[in-house]
Amino acid sequence: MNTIFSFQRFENYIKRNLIFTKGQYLYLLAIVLGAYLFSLLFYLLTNWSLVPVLMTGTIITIIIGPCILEPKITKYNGVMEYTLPVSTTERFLAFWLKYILILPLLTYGIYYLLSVITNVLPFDSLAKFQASMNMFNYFNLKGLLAIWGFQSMYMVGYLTFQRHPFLKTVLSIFILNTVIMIIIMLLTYTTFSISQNNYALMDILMNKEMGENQLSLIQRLPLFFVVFVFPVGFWIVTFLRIREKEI
Amino acid sequence: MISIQNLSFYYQQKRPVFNDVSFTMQNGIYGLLGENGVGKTTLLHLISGLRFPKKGSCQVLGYNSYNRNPEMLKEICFLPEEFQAPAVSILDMARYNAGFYERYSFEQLCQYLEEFEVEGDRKLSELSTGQKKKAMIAYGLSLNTKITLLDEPTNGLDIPSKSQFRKILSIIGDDRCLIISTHQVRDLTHLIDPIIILDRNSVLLNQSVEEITRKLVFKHTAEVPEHALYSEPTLEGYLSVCPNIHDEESTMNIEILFNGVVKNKKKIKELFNM
Repeated sequence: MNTIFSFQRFENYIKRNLIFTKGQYLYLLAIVLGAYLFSLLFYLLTNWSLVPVLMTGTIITIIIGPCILEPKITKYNGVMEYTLPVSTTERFLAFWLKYILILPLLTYGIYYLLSVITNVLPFDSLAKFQASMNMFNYFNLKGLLAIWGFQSMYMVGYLTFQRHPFLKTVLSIFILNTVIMIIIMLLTYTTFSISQNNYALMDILMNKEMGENQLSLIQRLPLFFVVFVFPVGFWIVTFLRIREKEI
Repeated sequence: MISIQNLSFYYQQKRPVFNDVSFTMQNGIYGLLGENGVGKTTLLHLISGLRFPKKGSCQVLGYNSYNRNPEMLKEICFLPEEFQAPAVSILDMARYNAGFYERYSFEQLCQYLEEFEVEGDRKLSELSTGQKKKAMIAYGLSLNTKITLLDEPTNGLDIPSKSQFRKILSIIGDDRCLIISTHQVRDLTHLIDPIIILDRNSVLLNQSVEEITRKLVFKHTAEVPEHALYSEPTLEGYLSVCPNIHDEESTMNIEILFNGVVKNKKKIKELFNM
């Protein structure tokens, strides 16, 4: 059991990684604070809230984080990293936790703190600005599943592509999404229109707003597969890629 | 400690690096020699689980190296020839990495850093290449792992540091296996024993110094000896390596040995029953 997972070893590994990458978190904090101040000033000057843009940018950063925040694995840094006495499970969990839990919680915490500060500011005109900083608009179940689904692909992309992992992952996602949409359309006899926001994937899954086009449970099964199994499947692939990684 | 059985490995199938090689390594300071591109670094990668055999097995302390079992990894330290130093001091690096190694000694790290004259509290990224190397060697040896893999450790070291490195190696305990891949054999004369010489796809020699000097004789002669495997002109005549037909005692010269082995592969394999 100690071979697969040791809490002591895992704790040491997490601490080590946090110390060695503390610069990243400080940069993230600085960028979020800078963007918040900019959007606050922009709102005060123009009465337009940039918070949705800020939130979207944050979510995109969390999704593509594995490809842009992790260092490229080369013989110059990979030797020291992969000869560290840590099991594959621990390596995977540390990697997974950073992007599933630590980064999102960190950003959520920062935004929550900023929304509290905004609330305290003695400007009545900031009420609308403060209301737009409601994180639950973005981090609900639907949002989380979408984030995890796409993020899991970037995790696999980071471990699969040696060069240009971000660009190659974007291309792979585009191709994969196109193929899946075609398969779903064929299985469910449904057509999707990109311009029609009403028939988003999750809404179809929940049979919301489908009107006369309600699908049967069997027709919705592939959608369940895509939405719920997708991140889990790619997390498993991430684990296997870490296990099979050669330097 | 290390058992390699019928190992085959290649980066491209048409050009195998190892083809069905088998050998074992026990305690001692192994000198891993070979021409450029024969697979010295690849062998170190296979032992440490960074590369996986295509066929055969590489067992380290009873574990298959490709599994990268933490119980195996905590007994291996691999110092590569080139590495990206983190932006922390060697003391901080040791503080956060050494917790994974049971026999790490902070006192030994400080002692080695002092002998190498490297400041432990300076960031590694601020040090010169030679200073980084010395810091990492000090860190690696202070982990006291059963197996230490050093890839070209003396590259970039100044003359006094090479002398310090030899001094530190000479007091390494007998219960450890150090494998030093190097071209700079003169830096490690009298220290490395046994000697492994790799060839393309195979192992040419894996013998102790005692066995080598029993089967081969190294001598200075005025003329090239008749049965010399290899001769080099010197100021005093010739330095040659020959089969030790008359059971003569001699001191091994690693460079002459290497050239003699590489130029007489078949003869060497017959002599050492490989």
